[in-house]
Amino acid sequence: MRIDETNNALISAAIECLRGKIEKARSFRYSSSSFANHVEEVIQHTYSKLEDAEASQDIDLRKELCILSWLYIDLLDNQIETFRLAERSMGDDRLPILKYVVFDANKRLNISSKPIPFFGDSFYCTGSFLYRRYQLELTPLYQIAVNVTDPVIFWVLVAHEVGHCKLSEMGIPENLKRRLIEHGFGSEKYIRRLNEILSDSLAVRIYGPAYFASFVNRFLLISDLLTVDYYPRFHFRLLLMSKILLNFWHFDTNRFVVIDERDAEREEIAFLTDDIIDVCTGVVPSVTNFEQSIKYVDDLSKIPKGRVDILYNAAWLSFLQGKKNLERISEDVFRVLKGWSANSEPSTEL
Amino acid sequence: MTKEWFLVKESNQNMDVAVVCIDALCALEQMGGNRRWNDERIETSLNKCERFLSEFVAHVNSDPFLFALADSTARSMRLRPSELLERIKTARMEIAERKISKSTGTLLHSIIRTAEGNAIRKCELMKPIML
Repeated sequence: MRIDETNNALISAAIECLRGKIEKARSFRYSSSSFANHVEEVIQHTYSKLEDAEASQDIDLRKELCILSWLYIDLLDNQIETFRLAERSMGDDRLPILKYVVFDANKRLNISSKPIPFFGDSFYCTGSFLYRRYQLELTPLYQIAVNVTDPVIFWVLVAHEVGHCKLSEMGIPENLKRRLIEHGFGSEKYIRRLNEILSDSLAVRIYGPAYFASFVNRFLLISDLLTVDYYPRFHFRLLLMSKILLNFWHFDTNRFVVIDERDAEREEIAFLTDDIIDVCTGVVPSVTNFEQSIKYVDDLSKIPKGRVDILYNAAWLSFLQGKKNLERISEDVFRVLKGWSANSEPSTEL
Repeated sequence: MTKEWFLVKESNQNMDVAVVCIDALCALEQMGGNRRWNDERIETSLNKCERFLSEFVAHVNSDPFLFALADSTARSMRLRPSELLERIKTARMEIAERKISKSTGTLLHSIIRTAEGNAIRKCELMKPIML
């Protein structure tokens, strides 16, 4: 047997195996029609690649098409596993409230499709399935988790994850990428840091002091966990957000947290600060007047329905002023959001 | 805590490059013989690859992803960066003329292998346990 024949036999076996995996993924029942449609869309796309692999006479091309198909299915497997985790969240009575918060951030950042929110072991998102610059255009699918044991007061942190979804759609502006390379910071870790700080900036643009306060209270004690290579320095994140808050929300963070500016200045991508603020201003041109939140501090129930931004800001202000502890404000926020979400459109899907 | 988002994004960036080069090779193969795709799909695939190669040359020094891809591809082909760029320019012209040399075929396969290798590594990093 010639070596080409062996390879052809192996490739034929790989195609058969992939077809089996595809049919298995198709046979599962999904409790969301949008997710089922997404699975079908990826399957159709992968099938077309397998057909090309079968038809090609070029052994290298056949192999490359099989690898590509394998990658599509591998990523799909990952999404299916995450979706099953999301399906488990359907039994949690807090899910409608989580959806309300996530969809609010989604709307404010004008994301093209609704994400699938769920309770996981931390705050994270999966990002869109396909990077769509040259490929066939598939509908983006985002899955967003909040930490299952975190109280509702911290759920405003999902804005950071929705920020990542926004970056999936808009990409990093060319001028920022160019400046990184010009300064010798073109490697992956700096791109990741830039993505992180852009997501923070988008989140703080839409939710202002509430996002900042959540971030500080949730992560300050464990900030060492966030100082690995792929995250910007913790105090740089705080400093950049505080600048946005001072410039656009007229809110001075010095009132409740001390930012180590010397530590912040050691962040290697700190030279991009002004550019990052400009980018986020372009994406979210206007912000809520913080004064609006102050008048509701003593009674969250009077906040106009749907104003998640005012709700979280008033709640955090109540905490910062020492009027209520975290448990109490979480209960208050939960009660208000429960009322709002109960009057929303009923949904049996994720 | 968005490691997964980065890995999905980075694997997709690489898959995106692989698929544009693969589609161009599929289109060129069919132009020389058994056609399965319609003319429009063949043209679109070749135009996308032409555009990708143009952008590759134009942005390789300002886009970190393309910069890293060029570096890995040049190493795998034992080329200097300037030689790789010349090969890419030639490939773009040949694709515009709808007829590629063996050298361009080799280049496109090298880009595909590099991009797919990167994507596989990213996908593996998403898994909790490696086989």
